[in-house]
Amino acid sequence: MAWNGALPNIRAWPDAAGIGSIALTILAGYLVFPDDLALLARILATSLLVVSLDLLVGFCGIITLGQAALFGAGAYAAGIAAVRGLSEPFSLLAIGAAAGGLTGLVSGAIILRAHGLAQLVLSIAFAQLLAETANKASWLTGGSDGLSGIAPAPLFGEFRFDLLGRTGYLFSAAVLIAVLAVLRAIAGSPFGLLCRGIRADPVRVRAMGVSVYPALLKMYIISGIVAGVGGALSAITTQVVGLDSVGFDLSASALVMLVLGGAGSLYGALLGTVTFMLFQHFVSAENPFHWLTLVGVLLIAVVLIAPRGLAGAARTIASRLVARWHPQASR
Amino acid sequence: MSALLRIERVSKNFGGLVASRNVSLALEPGDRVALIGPNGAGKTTLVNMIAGLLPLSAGRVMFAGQDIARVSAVARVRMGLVRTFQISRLFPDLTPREHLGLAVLQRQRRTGHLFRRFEAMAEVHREIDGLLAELGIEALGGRAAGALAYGEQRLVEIAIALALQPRVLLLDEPAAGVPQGETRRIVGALDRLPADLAVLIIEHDMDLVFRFARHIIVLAEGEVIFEGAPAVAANDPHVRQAYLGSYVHGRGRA
Ligand SMILES: Nc1ncnc2c1ncn2[C@@H]1O[C@H](COP(=O)(O)OP(=O)(O)OP(=O)(O)O)[C@@H](O)[C@H]1O
Ligand SMILES: [Mg+2]
Repeated sequence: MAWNGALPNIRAWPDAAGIGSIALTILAGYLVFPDDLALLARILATSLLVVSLDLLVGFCGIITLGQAALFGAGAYAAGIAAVRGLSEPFSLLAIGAAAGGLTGLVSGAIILRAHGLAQLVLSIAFAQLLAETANKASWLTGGSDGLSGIAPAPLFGEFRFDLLGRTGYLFSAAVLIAVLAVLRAIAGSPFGLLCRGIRADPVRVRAMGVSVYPALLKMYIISGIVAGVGGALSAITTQVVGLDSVGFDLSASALVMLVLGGAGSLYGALLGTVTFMLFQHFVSAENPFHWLTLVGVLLIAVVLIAPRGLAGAARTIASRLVARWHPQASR
Repeated sequence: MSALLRIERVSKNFGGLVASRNVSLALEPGDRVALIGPNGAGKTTLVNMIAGLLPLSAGRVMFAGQDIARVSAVARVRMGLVRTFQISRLFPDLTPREHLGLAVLQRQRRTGHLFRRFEAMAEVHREIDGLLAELGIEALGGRAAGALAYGEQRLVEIAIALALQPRVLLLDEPAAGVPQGETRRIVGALDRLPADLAVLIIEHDMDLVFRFARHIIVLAEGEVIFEGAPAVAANDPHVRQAYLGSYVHGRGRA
């Protein structure tokens, strides 16, 4: 179905071809920028954070400025496990997923009780609480020094997470692709359909006999799992976990990345993350004092010129081109 | 005493405004009751209270012999107490097929399934096909609801209600907003409602009301001012004065 200019439709989520092209792009990154794999791996881990945020904001219309809590929970859980001797990478991912999912359950149970501005404030408060706990429990988390000494075992007992970051990057890529494939399945499921209904009109959903709160809570858990996996990946590939991984800055940046790319289609989450982080990397290297100013300008420009974000703008342009060259094909 | 739905001396105040005052009514399976009255008489308010969207100020609502004051709106739907909305309330991006799918899946308690493809659930789609055919909207099944004509949206509203397999159906102005000449399909849909379903219909289209209802309740300023057979209602001076005005039973509004 062609894009019709309305809100991003869930059917615009990556399909098999979309996931394939994302995989190819990631592979191209590996081949073209072999010296920047550490940065690229960080982008992939952060993508999972922004994708997890899109599940709540774009998919269900929940407002949150505390998503880093879910990411940080995964990062700390995996990091602490690794420091204490459990270093098999897939086990660390599983631990991160569990921690993220659990944090999603607890924070969702609280945040979903409120709506609008109160919801936003609760999400900030919850994340701050978690950040402060991580800060105070320095015997466990390393406090403000961060958690170091994370040494993940080689992947499949074979591939070491070395300084070049090749293993880290390819591992992150595979995990991201797998997560996208699972989310795609969910988008086409009865639950995916229900979430689309809830975003449009919760009252209507209730009048069909479906409770909204448990459904949103379930989505919060899924989102937590995705963010937790991202956090664990970040712990595995960077081998440190700091307070910044639960911090307000990260929550706010994640929302900026999502808005920049466009909420509601997952593509936007990916595009926004890549754009923001590359911008951050290169512009802050050139101009460390004003790069945030430039991010602000970029964001204002995108919001004013392309309110549906970069992905929305790209889709508009694509459908116009299709309409121009194949007038009969554009239904 | 054991009516399927019974509301007893229900009142509702909004601040100083009395939207319902001491309203009682009962519905049995197969009933066709019309609730009519001027704008602002409190008809929708009554439906909202029965559906559990508004708390009562006084009185009680009994369903299948049980006081449902503490039953949530969602649970009432699951018990078989279903309403439609006066103003179409569809998900603009979803197709009629997807709306009906949600309703059918809810009945089967399967809206939470994560790893089955909705498109591949053949038995659900067979049931949806049946519902679409029942209302004569097969051709619309795949279009976004927001792009449908208003009359078509009203039919989808009714189809959703039927997909929930209600025992009591509260229809809040099913023909509202539909151009005069286009109510035929809605009338047809109402005629084909399951015979044992208890129906309470609110409607301003008097031809439709007198054709459909076998019992009429007239509400004015929150109070029941008349209750009885349609033919009697049409000739009752209070009803004429409060609401019907120059409407002549059998000939339409003059
Ligand atoms: N939530 C509310 N808060 C305050 N007043 C309300 C509320 N809902 C309805 N009212 C008022 O209660 C009265 C009855 O409204 P209601 O919607 O039930 O009328 P109605 O009979 O359905 O009218 P119509 O034929 O126009 O649909 C009106 O005066 C309305 O303004
Ligand atoms: Mg009304």
